[in-house]
Parts: sequence; C-alpha cells; structure tokens
Amino acid sequence: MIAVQIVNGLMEGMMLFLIASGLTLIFGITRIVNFAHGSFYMLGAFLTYQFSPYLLPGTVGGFVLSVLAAALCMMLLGMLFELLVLRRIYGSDDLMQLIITVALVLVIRDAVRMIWGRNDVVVSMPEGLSGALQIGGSFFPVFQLAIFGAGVLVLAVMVMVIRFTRAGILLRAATDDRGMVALLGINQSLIFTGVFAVGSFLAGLAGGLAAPFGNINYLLDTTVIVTAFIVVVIGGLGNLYGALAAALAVGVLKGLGVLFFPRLSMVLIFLIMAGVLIVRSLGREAVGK
Amino acid sequence: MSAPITGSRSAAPAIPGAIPWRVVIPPVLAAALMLAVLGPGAALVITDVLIMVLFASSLNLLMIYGGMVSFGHAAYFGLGAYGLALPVAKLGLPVWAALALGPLAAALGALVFGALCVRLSHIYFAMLTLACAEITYTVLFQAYAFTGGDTGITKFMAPRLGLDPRLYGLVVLAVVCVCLALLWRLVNSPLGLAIRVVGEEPHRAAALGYNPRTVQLVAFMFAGLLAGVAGTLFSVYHGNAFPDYAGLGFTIDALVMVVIGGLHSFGGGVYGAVIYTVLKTFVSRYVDEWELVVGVILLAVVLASPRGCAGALARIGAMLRNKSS
Amino acid sequence: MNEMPLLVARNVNKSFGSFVALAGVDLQLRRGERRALIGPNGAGKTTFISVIGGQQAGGAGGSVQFDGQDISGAPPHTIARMGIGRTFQISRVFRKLSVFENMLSAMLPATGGALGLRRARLEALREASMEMLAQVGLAELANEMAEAISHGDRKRLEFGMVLAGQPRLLLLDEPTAGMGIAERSELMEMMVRHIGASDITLLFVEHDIDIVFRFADAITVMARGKVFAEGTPAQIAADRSVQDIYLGAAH
Repeated sequence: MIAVQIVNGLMEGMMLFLIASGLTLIFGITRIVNFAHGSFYMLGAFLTYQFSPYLLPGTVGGFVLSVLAAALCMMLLGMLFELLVLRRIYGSDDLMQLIITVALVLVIRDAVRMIWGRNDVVVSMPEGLSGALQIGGSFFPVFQLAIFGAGVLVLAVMVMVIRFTRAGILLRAATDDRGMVALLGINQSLIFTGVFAVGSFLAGLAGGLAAPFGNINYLLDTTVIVTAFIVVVIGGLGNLYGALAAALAVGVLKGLGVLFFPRLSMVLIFLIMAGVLIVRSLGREAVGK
Repeated sequence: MSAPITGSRSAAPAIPGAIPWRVVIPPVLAAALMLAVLGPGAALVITDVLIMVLFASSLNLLMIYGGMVSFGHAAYFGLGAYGLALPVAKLGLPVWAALALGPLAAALGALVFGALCVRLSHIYFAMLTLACAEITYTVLFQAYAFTGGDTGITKFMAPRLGLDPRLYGLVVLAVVCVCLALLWRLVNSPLGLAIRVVGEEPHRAAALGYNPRTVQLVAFMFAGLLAGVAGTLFSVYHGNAFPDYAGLGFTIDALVMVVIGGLHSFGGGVYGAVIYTVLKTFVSRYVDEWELVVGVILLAVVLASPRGCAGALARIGAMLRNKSS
Repeated sequence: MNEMPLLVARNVNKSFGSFVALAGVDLQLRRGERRALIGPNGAGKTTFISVIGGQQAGGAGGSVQFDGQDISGAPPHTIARMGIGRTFQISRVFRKLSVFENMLSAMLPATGGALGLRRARLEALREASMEMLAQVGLAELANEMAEAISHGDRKRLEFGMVLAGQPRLLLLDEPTAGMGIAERSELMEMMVRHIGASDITLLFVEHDIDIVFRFADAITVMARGKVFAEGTPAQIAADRSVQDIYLGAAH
C-alpha cells in the first residue's frame, strides 16, 4: 500500500511541478509573484474543455491538441497582461504587485463564471489513455503515467533550453545579474515578456492536462494556487530544481499523509514549509534582511 | 480620520497627533444616530461594519504603516473569539470576566507567530503568516475535545450578552472609537514613526539605530491585539466561535478592505470596510459579478497612472467615499 | 590626546561563494582623522564599509574593533547606537515621509529608545530637527515629500540625518555620487564644515580625486580586495603604482 501511495504521490508531485515551474520561473527573472498563476491554470482547464469537441474529440491526439491550444491561448493572455499592465509596476513594492495580480484573479474568476456558469464542467478522459497498467502487483492509471511522462518531458526541455541555447544562457545571466544583462544591450523587456509567456504557457498546460482528472469549476484557481505557492517557497523562489524536489516531496507527503494522517495532511505541508522558512531565516542571523 | 500624516504646508511643521474632531465627530454621530433610530435589523448590519472597521484598521496598521503584507491576519481575529468563548464554555467563567481574555489570547498568538515571522520579509513573510493562520485554523478545527471542532462553540452565552441589537451596536461603536483613538495615538508617537521608517526602508532604519525586528514585532502584536478585540466583539455579537473566524475567508476580506481603502492613510481600514460592505451587500444584489468590477477598477487605475498608483487609488477611494457618505 | 586608534580593522575578509570581495584588509583610524578610501571599481570599498557598518558579516579570522570594543558581526542597529554612522551609495531616505519627518526619525534613536508612546518626545525634538535641516540648507523644504526633492537635496538630507545621531565615526560611501562638479564641491565643503571643528572621525569612499585631495588627511588605496597603498595625499599622488592600477583596471 505504501509503495503505491508513494508512486501516486510522485505522479501528483510531477503535476505540482508543472504548475510550480512557471511560477518560480516568473519570479526568478522578473521578481514578480504572480498570484494569477492559479487563474491561468483554471483557464487552461476550461479552454481545453471548450476546444476538445472541435479537435478530434475522444482521441488522444485530439486531447493533446486541445491542451496545447489552451496553453497557447494562456501564453498570449500572459504576454498581453505583461505588456499592458506588469510593465508599469516592475520595481514597485509588494503591495502593488499583490493588487495587480489579485485584480486579474478577480477578473478571470468572474469572467469564467459568466462564460461557463457556476456548475462543474467535465473533460472526459481520451480513449487511448483510460484504463490501468499493471506493474508488479498493482495497477496504475495510464493517464497518470502519461502526465508523469509529460512532466518529465517538460523538465527535460526546460533543462536543455537553459543549458544549451542562447536563450537559456541569457536566462541564467538575467537571474544572476539583471543590471549587467541590461548594460550589455540585451533587451530586458523582451526577456521579461518571454519569461512571462513561458510561465503562462506552463500554467495553461498544467491546467489542461489535469482537466480530465476531476471537476472543473470557477473555484479551481484557489484550490491549486496555495499548494503551488508552498512548493515554490519550499524549493526557493526562482529555483527550478528546488521546485522539482519540493513538488515531488509534497506530492509524496500528501500521498502518505492520506494514509496516516488523513485529516492533517494539508497542515503537515504547511508545517514543513514553516519549518523550511524558519530554518532558512536562522541562517541569516548576523546580516540585516 | 483622513488627516495627512505630515503637517500643513506652512514653514514650521507641527507634530500631528491631536484628534481631528471635525473629521471624526460627524461620522460617529451619524453611526450613533443610525443605530438608535433605525430598526434592530439595520443595527445588526451597522454593528457588523463597525467590527470590520476595527479588523481592517488593524491590518491597515500592519500593511500600510509597517509595510508587512500578511496572509494570515484572521488568526488573531479567531483567537480573539476563542479566547473569550473557551474560558466561558469550558471553565465556566462569567462573560464579563472573560472579555479581556480574547484580546489577550490574540496578543499572545501575535507574539509567538510574530517572533517567527518578522525574521522574514516579502513573500516569505506572507507565506509564513499564512502557515501560522492555517495551523491555527486546523488546531481549532481538529481539536474537537478542546475547541468543539468544526461545530464550534455555541450556546455559551446569549448573543450580544442579551442586549438589544441597537444597544450592543452603541457599545461596539464606543469600543471601536476607543481602539481607533489608541491606534491614532500610536501612529503619531515615536513608536509610530519607528514603525513607519522600518516599514519603508528597514536597512536605512537599522543604520540609524532602529532594531527592525523589535519594531516589526511590536507592530505585529498591536495589529494582532486590535484584531483580537474585533474577534471578541464578533464572538459576543453572534454568541459563538467557529474555526472559520481564523480562516482564509476573513483574511481575504480584510486584505481587500485595506486595498480598497486606499493605500496611504490612517482611515484606510475605515473606508475600506464601509465601501466593501456596501459593495457586497447592495451592489451584489444587482450585479452578480461585482468582484469583476473591483478587479477592473484596480486594473484601470494602474493603467491610467503608472507612477502615482497609490495616489490614484486614494483618489478613487476618495471618489467612492464621497459617493457613499 | 588619546592615542589609541578609534577603529582597528584586522584581516577583514569577505567572500560571496567563490568570489572573494575582501582578501584581508588591515586599516586603522586615529580619532579625528579624515581618511579617503579610493580604488578602481570592484576593489571592495563598499563591501569593506558594509562590514564595518554591520550590513555584511565579515568572514572568520577578521575583526573590527571600535574604541576598544569588538564589533565584528554585530547587527547594524547596535553598531549605529555605538556611534558609527553611515550613508549609502544609493541614498535611502524615507521617500514617503516628509523631509522634516525624515530628520525627526534620525533624531529619535540617538536620544533614547524609539519605542516610546509619548508624543511629547517628538515635540521636544522638533526644534533640533529644524535646526539640523537649516544647517544642511533644507529648512525651506521641510514639508516636502522626500521623494519629491532633488537628488542633491536628498544627499544633503541623508548627510544631515546621519549627523543627527551624533556619531563618532562617519562612514560616507560615495557621498557626492551622481552630482555635478559644482554641487559636489559644495556638498563636500558643507560636510567638512560640520565635521571640521568637532573630532568626528571620517572614512569616505570617493572617486573624485579633487575632492579626495582637498579633504583627506590620509588616503588608503584598495585594489582587488586588499589594501594596495596608504599614505598622505602627497605620497599617493607621487606613487606611480597607484596610477597604474587605475589605468590597468580601466576598460
């Protein structure tokens, strides 16, 4: 039983990583905490629902197309938001960031409610990915394995881009020393827009992939965002590998928590985050924050 | 209560601190009048608003003066409620004796959590305050034997101590006025100045001799204490205490109220609570998507005035204030 | 006159990961001395100032003593209370407060605890604050928001604020940065006028060589995290190797 839960936890962890990766990427480069990230996730799910009847419905290929289409839409929306609104508040204080991104949350939530109503919508599992695979003595849902694979794929692509392409090198440089990157004549605005686009794409992608799992409704943004934030904070804001480790750990802990402390698994996660934060703060004793 | 923090534009600046009676007396009288004259139903609504005014003002102190954005302020609201309810329900203390225990519990909670949280800043601070609030909520929710669990503590006293809603409303009005007067005095004292400079630029303040953590902890405790008073008033008002009082819902309400109230003045909590409640109660009857309205307004403000955001928000707030008062 | 040095920095070192910012700096200041700290960009001057002021913790093996007391690793506010004042390269006055409130806030910690609740204390400091503002030429701007005044005026305000604490040692990190030539000289003259009669010890980082030579009793040259040369202005001016490190480090 424990082994099964651990594997399930890893799979859920990979899903969490998909969500958290965009969030931590955006913060790492632009220093913006994007509270609307959960809203993008939610919109990704709804748009996947909206597109799937038109794109080879019922098939795996159709599902993938719908998800990609949804993710692309989110990418465009994210870029639009960055260009029109975020540009003006870079360097502003925490409160301004909070207000702007929360304003977007409010707008998206009500827009979703207006367009799709208050009731749950369902994206059905594509034919080819339903059912379960038998590994060892236990059965694992094919779809979850596919999500895990997707997560690994995304991770691999991100790692390769960061390490081997010019864009990736610029990203790393921009994280280390934004001032220098600007001085070298590289268009910082372009980097920021690009990063926000990628982050939004990832959020929409995660939402679309998760769509067949459960209920999609206008409250999806809040249920997801808190856990995503916890993962990002534990992993360290801006730290992609940290987000991966934290996401997998949180996923496994939630899986195990369901077995042993069914009512306390969420608090356990919070306690761990609190512990990580407190221990980190102890390491900064002598220096002013 | 919207007196600017700096002195007037004459050459020798005065030290602010005298209570601006001309600004304060009309709304207080108006509230008292409404409580006395309108029916008990209206009194219940007004009392609710007054309690929220205090709650939002406590967060206003923390966020606007202290520069600390908290995602877990309702923890102290909840502690204020349970601090009253638990001793009365479980230990049999008479209500009048337990009234001080609510704020005390909240202040203690703020001391413990604050000591941990002020070591961090920005999003890390916010997330740790969230964790503290969630842990508080879960303890209240799960510890059925001690706290009544998710069914809360009910029937330990008559709502409003048995007072007529209008009379209780006047009591609440008095308490809130006293608390806000104390808050005003704090903000205009040396400690208030310390809180503001540490909130603006902690490093610069430290180089001047201020201990940022101590100042922030004191601000955190004050905010927690006032939130606790609001929680106690709320508990008496309803005659119960539920884990939800420490939950995310109340925290978000307070955050939205502070933001709506404009981001630069003492009265932010007051305006925000009033405007938010008006929007919620009346506008939402006609417009289902009133939250979207708020969101669009906020976005429009930022798009229209990229530099003077705080000022523009204050202007919008002033516009709404003039409309609603 | 007391001959014990006011500040003794021994083997002060600081690394950020693998980057060595300070590789063992020794420096001593006599009471009342005016010492300029110069050197090419990246020499570690600001890092050194930050270690003395407490904003950075120095690495193991180094120590800083102030008036006989070990202040290594002490937090900035403690160091400030002991009588060390510092300004920052990027002036950080409190932008949302008025000029007057800025000065008031600088007066508070020096005159006892900042945790008081009595408004009377602020009243008592009002005269002194206006007095100091007048001395730095900002009395007219008392009610202006600090973010609304000019860059030069902000530098004056910052200087006045650091003096308000009545420090015994003053660390000035590029006090005239970002100002025009005439303004620079003016500001420096004002500063030296205020410091002049008193026995405040001064350690200032400056790039403007004219200012350095006019106001310094002695100069310490830093390069690559170490002290490269030390001496009177005349000695340093004559030192070819000092010119070389500037030229060598220039892009």
